[in-house]
Amino acid sequence: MVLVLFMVVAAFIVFFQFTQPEYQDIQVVRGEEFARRDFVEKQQSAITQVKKLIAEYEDSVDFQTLVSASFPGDQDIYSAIAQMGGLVALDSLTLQTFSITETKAQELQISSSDPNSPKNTNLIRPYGTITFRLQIVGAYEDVKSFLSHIETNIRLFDIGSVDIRPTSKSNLNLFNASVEVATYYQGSNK
Amino acid sequence: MALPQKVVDQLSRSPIRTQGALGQLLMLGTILLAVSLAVYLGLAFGYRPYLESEISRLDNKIESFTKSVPPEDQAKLVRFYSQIVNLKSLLGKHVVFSPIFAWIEANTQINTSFGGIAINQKNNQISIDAVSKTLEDVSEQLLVFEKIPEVKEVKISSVSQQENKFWRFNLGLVVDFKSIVTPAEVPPSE
Repeated sequence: MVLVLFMVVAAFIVFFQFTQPEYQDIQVVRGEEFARRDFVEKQQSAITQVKKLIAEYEDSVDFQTLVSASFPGDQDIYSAIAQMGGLVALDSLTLQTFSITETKAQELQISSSDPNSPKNTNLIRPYGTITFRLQIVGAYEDVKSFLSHIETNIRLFDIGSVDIRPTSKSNLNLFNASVEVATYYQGSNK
Repeated sequence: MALPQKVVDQLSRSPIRTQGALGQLLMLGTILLAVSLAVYLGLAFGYRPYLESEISRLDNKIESFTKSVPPEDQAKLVRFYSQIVNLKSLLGKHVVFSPIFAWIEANTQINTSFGGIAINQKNNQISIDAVSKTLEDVSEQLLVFEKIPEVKEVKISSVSQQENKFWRFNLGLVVDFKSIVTPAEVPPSE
């Protein structure tokens, strides 16, 4: 009878002193394991998507070139000047002077109410603005044509202001035009 | 008086029954202890090491994720994503400037000519130096702009008569630039 009692008491002691605390500890470890497994599954799915995107990115050379031509990865002032110079010549204008002002890279302003706004805003780098002030001389129609070419150019140019005045030789169709144009580039790392 | 045979039988059997019940209790106690021990040992030396080895395997896997997409590829992809998002935003704000000239020309009074024009797209202001034949033509030109819904404000200044009797004046307009340069959407015909 004493042996039976000893066995039962020992069974209870083992259960309440060892098994139950051990089970509670194991629940914590299981939680950690579950969290890691979940994280790994999500990461694996994300990595698969990233690899797919990289493959698509590498295949879309034309699209990359197009995007970089409109919005280059650096200032690329040389090409902006060359493009503007080309348009000035195309529209039979004379470029008298020009100046360049560079504005520091600024963060993209994203409206939280816009449903089309990007979700991963932390991945978006700031963009820089280069402002050109041009003094050109030419016929009124040519100045208009130049402005039309500028705003539809492959590199994105935004016309901020235009001031057109007749030259001192007012009997000729010749105007002095002062044009402020902004172009943009992808800023460096945050 | 001798005891009845039935009672004698019962008395002679009871020790055997007690021994059997004790044996069963002993068996139960042994089973309880064995199960408690087995559960504890299983948890402590079977399940816990298994979970810990799983955690360590998952940790190694997480570690290997950083190597699965090379940092250069990650940087390229982020850069491209950022370029596209920035470009999309800038294109959304891009204003086509040149239609403003056609609008000004269309709203010029017949006996009025414009000498100089300053257009500032950023603050929606247009300043026009004009010359009209008569004072009626000046007021008519003023009225033309006042009647246009896109013109928010019209100011006239520096009105003076020239030697040739023509009237020179300056018009300051505050306009809704975007509505002027963006063609109104025509509803699809049925």
